[in-house]
Amino acid sequence: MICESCKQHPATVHMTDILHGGAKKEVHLCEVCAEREGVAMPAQPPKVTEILGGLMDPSAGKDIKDLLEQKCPFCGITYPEFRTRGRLGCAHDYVVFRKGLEPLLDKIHGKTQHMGKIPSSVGRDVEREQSLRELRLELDKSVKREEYERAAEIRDEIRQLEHELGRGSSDGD
Amino acid sequence: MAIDDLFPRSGEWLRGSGPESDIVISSRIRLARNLDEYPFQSCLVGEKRTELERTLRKGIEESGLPDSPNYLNLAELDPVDCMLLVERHLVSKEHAEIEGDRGVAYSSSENVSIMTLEEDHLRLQVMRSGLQLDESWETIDALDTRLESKFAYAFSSDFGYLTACPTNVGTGMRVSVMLHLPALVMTKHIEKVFNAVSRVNMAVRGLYGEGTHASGDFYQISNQVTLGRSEDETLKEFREIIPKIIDYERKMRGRFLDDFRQRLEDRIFRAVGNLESARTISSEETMERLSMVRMGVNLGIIDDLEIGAVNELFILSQPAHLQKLEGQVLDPGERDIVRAGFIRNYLKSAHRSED
Repeated sequence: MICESCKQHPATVHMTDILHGGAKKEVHLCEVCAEREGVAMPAQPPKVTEILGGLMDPSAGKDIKDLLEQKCPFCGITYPEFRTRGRLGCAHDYVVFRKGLEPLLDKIHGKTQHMGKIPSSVGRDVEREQSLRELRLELDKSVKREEYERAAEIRDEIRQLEHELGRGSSDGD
Repeated sequence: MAIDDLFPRSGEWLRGSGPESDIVISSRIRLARNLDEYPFQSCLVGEKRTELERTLRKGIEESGLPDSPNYLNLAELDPVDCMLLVERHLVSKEHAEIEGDRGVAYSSSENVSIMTLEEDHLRLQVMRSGLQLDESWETIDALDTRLESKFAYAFSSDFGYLTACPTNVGTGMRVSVMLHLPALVMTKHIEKVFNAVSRVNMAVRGLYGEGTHASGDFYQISNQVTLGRSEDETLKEFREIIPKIIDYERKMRGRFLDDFRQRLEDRIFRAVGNLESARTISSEETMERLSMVRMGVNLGIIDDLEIGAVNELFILSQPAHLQKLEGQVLDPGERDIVRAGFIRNYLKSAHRSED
């Protein structure tokens, strides 16, 4: 099989894209094209500075321009400084440079929302919020797998949590 | 000085006693944590840095590391001692190399250690022999929860535990399983493992972590993603993929034994002969030969050596350990001579203790 993108090299990366709405599309690429398309991991993990360099692409647009002038009032580092060093100066940078960090985090981790352990001091509500996010994902999965009984159970759990958080069931059916 | 207590024994995680320890050397989990009220490590200098180092040390000591813990300030150690800690996997190379106050707390078994003021304020680490990820997680999770009562961690409900490097943010958790894969290397099937592993967002590294070269057929498999994937999910991925790699390696070893037994035995016994008679030997060659010996022991081809002894040799024959043994700084050429002598003696007594 020949790579769909360059139509020259043999296709060695095969994947199934799940499109919005659940339709599937098969893609066959050679390694070079796969890497360029960002669907294959290079043999070595990319360096942070390389990933950061990628942020300068035009798709990031004008927000980046604003970012370049940002300076954290707490630790004093600027966004370009962070980009060069690949390390943040303090916890506040996650707020100050948020606009730049979100696409970056998405690129590194494929996600921008924490899942997992929460320090107990942060409180029960955060824990509930987190459970909610996890349950919503699980609900999505079980609906896709057509496990409707399980989905109904999850939906009840979600309602319960939303109730505990003082929210009406805004989403759902 | 306390660092001399480490020497000349080796850490418990090297004993080769855990599950699947013919292939899995060790399981390791580390957590990155920072305190909310201080800037990250690289922006901390002078008094503020000294103050935080003391605060961290006090909190760690109060939260109770298991079995008679010890704490060392790396700024007070000479370079050979720092390297010794790196070779024993108690601190990272980066930690040994940065300047200013920073330290490490470790249990006497060396299963648990906490680096202070590495890239992050706290780097908790649990290491165990063989494949023991769940046990390692239980230990580190409990330790983290105890520390959490002493410190206000930098945490956001969006991004989780906030870290100096965006690649660690979220759980701050890095799971690494160190594998010995000589048969997959010999049959060149190792590339397939690399490809499979990178497809599930895991990385393959050398013996001493990031940026190090894989030597002696040792590979560390670790997770890349820390944000948006819970600790449980990450551990689950390891539970799925590691046994597959283990099976693959075992299958290749079996195939080698069936088809090329004599060639394999030849390589293994030549490696033994080499280590038993060399008068000068580099660390690369040592790794290579020891890798063969290790496989020989695991396949029952060599029956008068214990796996723990072979594991230990990998660490004790490293540069800082040899210099510690000799009590002086040695250049690489001198080290190769000392290394050869040390290995010869070690193997002699290891054989004898079997009788």
